[in-house]
Amino acid sequence: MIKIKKLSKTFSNGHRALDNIDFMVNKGEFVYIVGPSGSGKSTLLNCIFRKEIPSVGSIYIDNYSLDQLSNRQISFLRRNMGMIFQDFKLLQTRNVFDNIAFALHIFGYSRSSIRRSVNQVLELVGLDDKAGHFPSELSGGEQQRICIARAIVNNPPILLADEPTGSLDPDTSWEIMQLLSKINLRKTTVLVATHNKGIVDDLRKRVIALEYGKLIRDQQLGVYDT
Amino acid sequence: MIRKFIFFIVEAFIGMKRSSFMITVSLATVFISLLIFGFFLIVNLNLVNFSSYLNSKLEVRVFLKDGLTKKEIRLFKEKISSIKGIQSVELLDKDQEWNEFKERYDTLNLDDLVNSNPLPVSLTVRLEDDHQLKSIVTLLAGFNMFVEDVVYGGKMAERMQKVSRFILYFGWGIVGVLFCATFLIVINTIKLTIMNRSEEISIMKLVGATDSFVMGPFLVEGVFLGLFSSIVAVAMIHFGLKLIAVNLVSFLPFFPNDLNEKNIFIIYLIVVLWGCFMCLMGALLSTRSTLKKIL
Repeated sequence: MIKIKKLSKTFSNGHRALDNIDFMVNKGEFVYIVGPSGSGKSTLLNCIFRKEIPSVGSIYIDNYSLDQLSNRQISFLRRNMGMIFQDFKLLQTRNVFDNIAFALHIFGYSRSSIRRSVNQVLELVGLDDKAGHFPSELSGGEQQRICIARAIVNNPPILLADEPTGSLDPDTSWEIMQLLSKINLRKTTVLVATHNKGIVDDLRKRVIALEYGKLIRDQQLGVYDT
Repeated sequence: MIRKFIFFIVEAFIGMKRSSFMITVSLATVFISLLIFGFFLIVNLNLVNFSSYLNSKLEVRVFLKDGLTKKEIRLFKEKISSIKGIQSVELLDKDQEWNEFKERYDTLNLDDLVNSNPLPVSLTVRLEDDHQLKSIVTLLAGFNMFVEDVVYGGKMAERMQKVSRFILYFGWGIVGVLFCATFLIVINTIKLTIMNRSEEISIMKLVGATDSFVMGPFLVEGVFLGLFSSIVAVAMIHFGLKLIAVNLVSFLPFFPNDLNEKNIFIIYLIVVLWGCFMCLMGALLSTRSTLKKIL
C-alpha cells in the first residue's frame, strides 16, 4: 500500500532530515515510527502527506507515485489520507460538529449525510455529547479526539498520526492509542510517529526506528528500544 | 455545484462575521476609495460638459462690407461653410439686430439720433472646437473683398479654453491615479483580512480542500465587500450630488451642471462594477499569493 524508496530530505538550511529510507507498509497494518526528537519521524509523515517534498527518492501509494503531483492532486491525495497532528490544528472559531463537518463539505457531501457521518464518528471517539462545544472549551485529549474524528470521518484507507499523544497525560494517551487501534481494526492502515516508549512497548505492533534520519530498525511486534 | 456555491455563500458570511473588525475596516476603505473615485468621475464629466459648453460659445462674428448683394452674401456664406473646422454659419438679420439693439438701450432714444440702420450685415461662425480658432480667424479676415472685420473673444476665450483643458486633463489624471490607488488599497486590505485567516486556510488545505475550494468563500466575500461598499458610496454620491447641485446653481449659475439621469446612472454603474471587480480581483490575488505559500 505505501512504498518508500530511497527517500531523502534535505532542508534549505542544509539539515538532512531523512537519509535513504526504504520500507513498505501493507494494507491494514499498524506501524510505529519511533526515534528521538529530530530523528526525522515527522518529516517522514509530512513527506507521505505531501506537506514536504522529498529531495531524493519516491513514495508510492497503491503503486501511484507521489513525485509529480499538482496542487489539485495533492488535495485529492489528502482526502484519502487522514492526518492527526500533535497540535490538533482545529478551527478555534468553529464548534466540534463544524470542525468535522467542514472536511465533509470539502468532499461535497449533502447536509443530511454530513450530519449522519459526523454523529457516527463523534460516537466512535466518544464525544457525541460535545458536538456544540468549541475546541477551547475542551481538554487536550478531547481536542485530539476531534482531530482523529476529522481525520477518519470519510473512512480514509490510510491514517497518519504525528505524535498524537505528545501533549497528553499518560491515561489520555492510552485512550487515544486504544482509539487508533480500534480504527486499525476497520482495515485502516495506521502510521504513528511517537516517542512514547510506554505505549509502543505495551501495544506491540510493527516498529520502524529512525535515528539521525536513517532507518536503523524495522521490527514486527517490536519495542521502542532494542 | 449549487451545493458548493451555497456553501461558499454561507462560509463567506460566517467568515465576515468572525473577522468583523477587519471586514469593517475593508468596507470603510473601499467605500471611501469608491466615494472619492465616483466624486471625481462626476466632477470630471461636469468638466467635460463645461469644456463643450465653452466650445459651443466659441463664436466668431464676421462683419461684411456694405454694398454686397444678397447673392454675393449667400455665395460667401456657402464658401466659408465648407471650411474645415467650421461647424455652422448663420446670417444675422440686420433689421432684427438693430431692433434688439434699440430695445436693449431704449433710454437712448436711438430713433431720434439715427435715421437708418447703421449696423453692417454680419455672420455668426461657430467652430467645431477651439484648436483652429486663430487660423480660421486669419483665414476669414483674408477675404477682404467681403469682410470688413472679424471679431472673437480673443485672448480671454483662448485662456479660458487652456484653463478648462488643463482642469480636464488634471481631473482625468486624478481619476486615473485614484483608479490605481483604490485597487492597491483594496488588494492590501483584503490581503490583511486573508492573512488574518491564513491558519484557517492552511487547515483547509491539510484536510484536502483544493485551491479553488479555499478561494470560493473569499471570492464571494470580495464581491459582497465591493457590492456593499459601492452601493453605499453611490447612495452618498447621489445625495451629495443633489445637495451640491442646489448650491452650485446659486453660487456658480454659469457652471453647466447638466449631467442627465442617463449619465449619472452610467457613473453609478461604473462605481458599482469597479467596486465589485476590484474587490474580486483583490480577493483573487490575495488568496492566490497566500495559497502559494501553503503546501
